Amino acid sequence: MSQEEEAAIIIKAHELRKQGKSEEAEQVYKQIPLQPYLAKFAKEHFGADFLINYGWNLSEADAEYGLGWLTK
Amino acid sequence: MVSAGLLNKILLGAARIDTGRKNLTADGLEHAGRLSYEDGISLSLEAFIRKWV
Repeated sequence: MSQEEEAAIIIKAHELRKQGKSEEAEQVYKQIPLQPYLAKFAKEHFGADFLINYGWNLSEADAEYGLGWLTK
Repeated sequence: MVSAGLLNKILLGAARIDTGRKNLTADGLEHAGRLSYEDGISLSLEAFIRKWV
């Protein structure tokens, strides 16, 4: 995802939060890949199921740690 | 025990703060960086309030 695409998502999600649409904003924010170090932290402290069940975009973590890192 | 929903909010807050921090120093992305940073702090505060207040 380009930085410009990410910026557009941030602006859209921010507008949704301003309108009181927190849950919609969260879903929009989650289109942005979670930073690999945060994904790794979450896996270690919250578990892999947490990341899967809450719909996080793990594409950058997959690229950094290799496919299957979540279930190792 | 902390609920998964609360953990979700905390993680989202951290992610937004991190993105905001990076974008604040990138040409042309300062506005989005500031919004992301602000939203991250708001999310984190909401999580704190939900848990501790």
